[in-house]
Amino acid sequence: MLPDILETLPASEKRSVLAVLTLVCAADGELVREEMAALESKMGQALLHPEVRREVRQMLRQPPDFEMLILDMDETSLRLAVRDAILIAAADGEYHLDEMKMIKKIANAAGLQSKAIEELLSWVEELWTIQAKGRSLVGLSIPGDEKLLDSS
Amino acid sequence: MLPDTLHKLPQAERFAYAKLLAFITRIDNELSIDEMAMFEQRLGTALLSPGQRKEIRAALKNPPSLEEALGGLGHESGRLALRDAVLMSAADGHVDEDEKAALLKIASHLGMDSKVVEELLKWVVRGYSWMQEGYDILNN
Repeated sequence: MLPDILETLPASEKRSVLAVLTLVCAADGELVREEMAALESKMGQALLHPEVRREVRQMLRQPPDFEMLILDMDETSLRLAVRDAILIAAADGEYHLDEMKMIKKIANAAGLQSKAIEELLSWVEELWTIQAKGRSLVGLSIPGDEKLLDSS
Repeated sequence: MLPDTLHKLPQAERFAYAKLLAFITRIDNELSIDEMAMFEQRLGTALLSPGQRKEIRAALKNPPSLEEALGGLGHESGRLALRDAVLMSAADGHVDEDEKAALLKIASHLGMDSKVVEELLKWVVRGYSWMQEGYDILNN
């Protein structure tokens, strides 16, 4: 949303975070436009080189090996990947079982407990509310926004 | 930010939206890494074609005038552009006078009350604290 630690990581770590995110996008065997927009948004935020972006898009068709991928990732990158994996999984409005399995794998590798996953899921819920507020301020509420704002 | 309605707009309007953000990004004649990251993030969400992205990045070097940037915006794309222009303006941690004046002009062009800009700025502050909460969860 706003400036993020992701943009400050070394190029190789940023590439790895995005590669992990492709595994979440591909986890349920479907890639909807919302997930694609969320992935492109993350690649933009990470300021990935256009060539690396092409490489990452290719990974959606040929997913990388998770174990190999995380070998060289540091804990900060893995934790950011958990956070962004949950954001990407939420992009189409629901968490698929296979997406959650992948998120738990990344969280294990990052040394995060299941409590942290629960907290991140609530944190993403809050983002839905914040976005609903942003839309309502400019008069562009969509169905469901009113309910979100009433319950906040 | 999660995708909302921007990616569903016609491509020409998404392009116009990005052009307005290019204008806002260069208004203070500086381009910080934070602003660039935010700008690229919004271009990504807009799902612009590679050719359009190239064109928009060129607009960062030769920014359009505000009138030109407002030209291709429709009702929805204009309002989303105002919201995200406020986000962009705050990306480097402060909104200077020129940025604020431009935001007010955009709101006026869209027929919106100037207080919307103030409310959007408060909304951005809420976004900052939400992001910090995310870091806190990861650091615990």
